[in-house]
Amino acid sequence: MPDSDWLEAAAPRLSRRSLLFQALSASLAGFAVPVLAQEGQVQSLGSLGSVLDTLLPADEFSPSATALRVDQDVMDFVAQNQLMLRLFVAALGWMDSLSDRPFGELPAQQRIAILSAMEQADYNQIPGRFFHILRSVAIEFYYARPEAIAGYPLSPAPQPAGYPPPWS
Amino acid sequence: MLEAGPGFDPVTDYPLDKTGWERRGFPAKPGSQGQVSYGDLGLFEAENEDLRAWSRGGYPWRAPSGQPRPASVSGYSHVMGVGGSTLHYVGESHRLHPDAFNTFSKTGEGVDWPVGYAALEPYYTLVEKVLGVAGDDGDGARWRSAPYPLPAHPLSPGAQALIAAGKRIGQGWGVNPRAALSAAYDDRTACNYCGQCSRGCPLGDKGSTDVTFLRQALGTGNLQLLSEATVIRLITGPNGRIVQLELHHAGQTHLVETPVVVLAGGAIQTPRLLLLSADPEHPDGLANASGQVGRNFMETLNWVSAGLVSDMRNSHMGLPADAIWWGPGIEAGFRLNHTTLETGLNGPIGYGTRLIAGFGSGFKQAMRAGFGQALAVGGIGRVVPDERSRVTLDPELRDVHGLALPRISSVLTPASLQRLRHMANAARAVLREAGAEIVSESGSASEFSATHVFGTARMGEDPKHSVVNAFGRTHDHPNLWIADASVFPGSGDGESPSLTIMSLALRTADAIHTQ
Repeated sequence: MPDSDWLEAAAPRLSRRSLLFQALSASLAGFAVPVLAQEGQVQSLGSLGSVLDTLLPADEFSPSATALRVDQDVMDFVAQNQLMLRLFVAALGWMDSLSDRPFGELPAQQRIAILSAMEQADYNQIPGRFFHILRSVAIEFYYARPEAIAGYPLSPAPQPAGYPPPWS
Repeated sequence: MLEAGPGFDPVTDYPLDKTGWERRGFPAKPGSQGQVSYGDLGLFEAENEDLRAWSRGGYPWRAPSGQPRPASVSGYSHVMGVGGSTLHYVGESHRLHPDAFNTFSKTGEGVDWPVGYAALEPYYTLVEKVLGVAGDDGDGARWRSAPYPLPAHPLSPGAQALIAAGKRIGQGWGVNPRAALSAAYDDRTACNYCGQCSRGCPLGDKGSTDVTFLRQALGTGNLQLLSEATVIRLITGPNGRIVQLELHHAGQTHLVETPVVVLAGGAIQTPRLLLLSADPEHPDGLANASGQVGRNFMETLNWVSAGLVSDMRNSHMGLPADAIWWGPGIEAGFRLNHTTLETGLNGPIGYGTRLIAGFGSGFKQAMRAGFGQALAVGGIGRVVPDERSRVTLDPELRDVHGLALPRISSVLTPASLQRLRHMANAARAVLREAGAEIVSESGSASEFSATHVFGTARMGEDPKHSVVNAFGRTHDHPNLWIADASVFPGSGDGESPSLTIMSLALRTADAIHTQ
């Protein structure tokens, strides 16, 4: 979508399934991560940064998600929606409970394996839903930063120069 | 002129020179979106699974078939403001095919119009001149009395690929006429191909009505324009004449006397206002002796298929919607266009959330390698309204003025769904011929999404079956005229309607002047 419609799209669909999610959240309550929050703000959310950097790691062309402060963008987004915050808290808590170490301290191969399993999981269960929402949110914030598109045939913004021909 | 929405400043309201541009759509301002509710949108049936929206890089969630068809997030997508939906339109400038005025006679579907191509042709020519339409003169049956004001734009890489592929499979693709300046014109600068027409044009080269008709009208000194002024009721007097308008502006209610009223609220708000203006003399609403106000609603029958072409480069560059195939004929009743940029596949976020799956370093490499390889084809087709398709007043929901919201019911007929299938298959065929692997599709079968809406105050000669005559004057009120797509008796064969709306409006203006 050309704008952030999908963010809005995710929320109503979650709302329609709020009962399901409330039930699942309750069943996962024991896994909830500590969350440092005050009204309308989230300052810390467990292993979120590690998850983001596994989704969007640094490479030879562009920095990692957290290097571009995508973690803060995501927390600002999550803070706007209590249902979304509950989903994130439950999912990140569950991810930290999968081993004797938190997700962020696991070897890269193990982190990738966990996310691959979540990617294939049922979208109507917390791990699958969390993965796909976080992936979309992260991509939107990450690729909105000019540093992420270094080397692309794109200007930081379409104006004022436009893209005059030739185009081949 | 009373405009319910706000004005937009192209320089400050469309910040396409700022980073993060891809996250911003056309700006929403207070009052720039009319609230609507939805009634019966039909079901998404299992037999239409082949028309379900999906994308490789998007959410894997699938609504079960057999359930009500939902409205998409954008739903009835429009802009309420000075310039209306031309502010976010891409600017396709289509004349209706001459046969589209006689759909019933030619195909047995829908109804015939009380006006034909020959009567509208001079107005089409005038509108093209005011907007500064760029095209070539090979439009076939859509004969012209004058050439396009401006030469066609250079073809984008995506358009070139579709024209070549179409030629190989019998689809005669060509230049799509566009209201975007291919050269400086009318004190406006030429397009610099930023590819973001739907996000608002900061240069003013797109032919939206704020920088064309309204700018020229205001320049005469004869037009007073009042924005954020919401008309909430039309008040009748003797002989059915409209004598006053009741409107809200700046927190106050005003009554304004008027000799003539021209409604141009579009196919949702126009019937709503007529229904809201019911009085003891007109208990079913104004202009509604026929009972046709709000009926015959036609949505946009639309389809998009998108893919990746491994040997394509820079498909994010060029003018959006620059190529078109007018379809296999009037029986088919649809057209396809090049829609890579229009559908938002001109930035990395569009790629990552729709076209390219996965995560990690492999995902980033695939993004980098694939960017510029997207190719998308869109289709729009004729809709014949189902009996249930109509705009009514919501029995419960109210807007900020305490007025009932318009409620949209729209059910696709089996014939419309079959047309959608033909469109989808034609789009898939040309994409595959161009070498695309299709990775994302969407369309009207599984979600209601409409930018072009028609039919709710339809035009006709018989007052028993229509709301306005061939010149847009209501049958019931001698000084009430309608100049928007609600008067369309049919949706056309997929042509974008703006040029026809404007041409009919100029014809209405001539009729008022003559009267």
